[in-house]
Amino acid sequence: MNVTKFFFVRPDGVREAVTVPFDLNKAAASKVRLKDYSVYLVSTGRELAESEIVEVKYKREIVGFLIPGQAILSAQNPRNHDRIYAAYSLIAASRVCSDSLNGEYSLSGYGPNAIGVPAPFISDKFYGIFWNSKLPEPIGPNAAKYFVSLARHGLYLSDRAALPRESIRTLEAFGKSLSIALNPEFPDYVRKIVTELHPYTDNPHLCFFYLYQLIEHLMARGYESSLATLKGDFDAQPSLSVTQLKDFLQQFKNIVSEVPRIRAVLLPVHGPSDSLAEALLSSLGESFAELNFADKVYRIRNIMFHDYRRVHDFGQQLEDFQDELMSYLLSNQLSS
Amino acid sequence: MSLRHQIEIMYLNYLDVDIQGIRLVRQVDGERARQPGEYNFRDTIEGFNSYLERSESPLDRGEVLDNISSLENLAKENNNQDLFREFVMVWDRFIKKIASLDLALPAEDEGGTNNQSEDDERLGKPWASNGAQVFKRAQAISGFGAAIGLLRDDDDAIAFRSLDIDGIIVGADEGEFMTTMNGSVENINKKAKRIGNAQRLFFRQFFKMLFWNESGCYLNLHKAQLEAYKSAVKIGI
Repeated sequence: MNVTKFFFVRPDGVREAVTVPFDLNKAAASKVRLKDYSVYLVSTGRELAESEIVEVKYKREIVGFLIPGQAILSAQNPRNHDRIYAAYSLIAASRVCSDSLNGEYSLSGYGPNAIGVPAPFISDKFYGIFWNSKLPEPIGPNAAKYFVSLARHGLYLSDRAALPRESIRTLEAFGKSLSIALNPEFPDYVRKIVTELHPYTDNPHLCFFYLYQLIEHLMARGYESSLATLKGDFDAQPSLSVTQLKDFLQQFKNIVSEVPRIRAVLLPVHGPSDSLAEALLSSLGESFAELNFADKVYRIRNIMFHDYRRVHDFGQQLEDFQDELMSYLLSNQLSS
Repeated sequence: MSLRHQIEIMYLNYLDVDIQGIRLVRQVDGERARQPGEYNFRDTIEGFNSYLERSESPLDRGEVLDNISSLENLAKENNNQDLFREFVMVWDRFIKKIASLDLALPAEDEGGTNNQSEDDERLGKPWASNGAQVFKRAQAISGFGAAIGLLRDDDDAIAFRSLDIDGIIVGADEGEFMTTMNGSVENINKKAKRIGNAQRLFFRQFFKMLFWNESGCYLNLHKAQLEAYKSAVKIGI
């Protein structure tokens, strides 16, 4: 790919030349087969600096880049000398410009969901360029196999114009590289909650509702495996004494009761969420001395679902609490 | 036809012609004019346009002529003087003054220090290793043009001929100036939403501080660049 310019055709038919910076290192570009790569828009909850270029790694090998739109073919980008980065930048530029030739603008600043001044490349969103041949499964348009790795860093494959809500997962710069891994199989509603509903909902009460559905999913997952184990143990007994039967009944009760189930899911204790849960319960006039971490989360859930008027005015505290709790779930239970 | 094209056509006759020893060179593949007294023609046009527009922003590609006021300013100011020629000459005087100050990056900073993080390495080499390299850039000449234009709007007495180029001092140890200047540009590169625009803003503020006699940094390179960085960040990069 020895190219000095691309052509972008605007929706009004005007053909615009997009110059490739002379110092963009094209040494690796000639080895690129465009069909091996996918390009998606990746959103996060804040503005991006042009220099926030992130290598995407799978098992320590580069499998892609996240490149802010304003960095694509920027003449002043200090990374232009990096032949690997440059190749990925050219792939993104090639895709956006060739799409325009076919009247397709979903990746460009002329797309139906774009906001701001129209331009070939969208600022303040990443272009995610992924080398599918290097991944066990292709990324795909909704990153179903990898969404937890991305969401953990406040990143979402999305062509929506709006940016996701700010969260603690996006406060700091992303750093030079990001590792992705295959996540467990989830029902599609879990992916939708994590990537489409929760990040784009401003209302903290609704955010907590969505978050709690993830806890319910984890509890259900725990329930099924525990039930299978218990049934196996039960079936293995040739006969049961009254005491043994009482033990099994107690174990069964633990499996179906909410409190033991949520206690089994929310381990280990997450300090920041625990502190914020205590602060919220304190504001609600609830005593919590006897409660462990999972119990506090469950108590907040009960107040939300059964006595909402008490928590209606504590939106900010609820937001802080659920933001930390979501980070905890993404880094722990949803990753394994 | 874009405004840039119109201005380029107007000044095409300056290409490869001496202007008191100055040569404007149209170079292929963006190579910089490296010889003393040589300047990239396109960069110079952009700088001159920045003066006319009072804006350091780069000329947009493919823009149709929509800035009649720039050409009106040109017509008003030209007044039997060749303003473009004056612009080129004062820029050359400035670069030669800078070269005479023997500004050089300390040797240990040229390849990066031992404490340079991987992020710093990825952001590339220092902006410049000597004074001329700092300023022989499109971003700097555009900043210069915009700054002088803005100063002139506030004070008619400001003109290319009136700039006290000879009075410029470093205001610090030469190595310290270069290190701090490089550091400012690197910080801008790390933080800026759009690096090119932010660099141009920085240089606009730099030249404004340098040539504004009430800035507190008048003709002092070091003070001007410190203030320029602060004000550019405050304005928003």
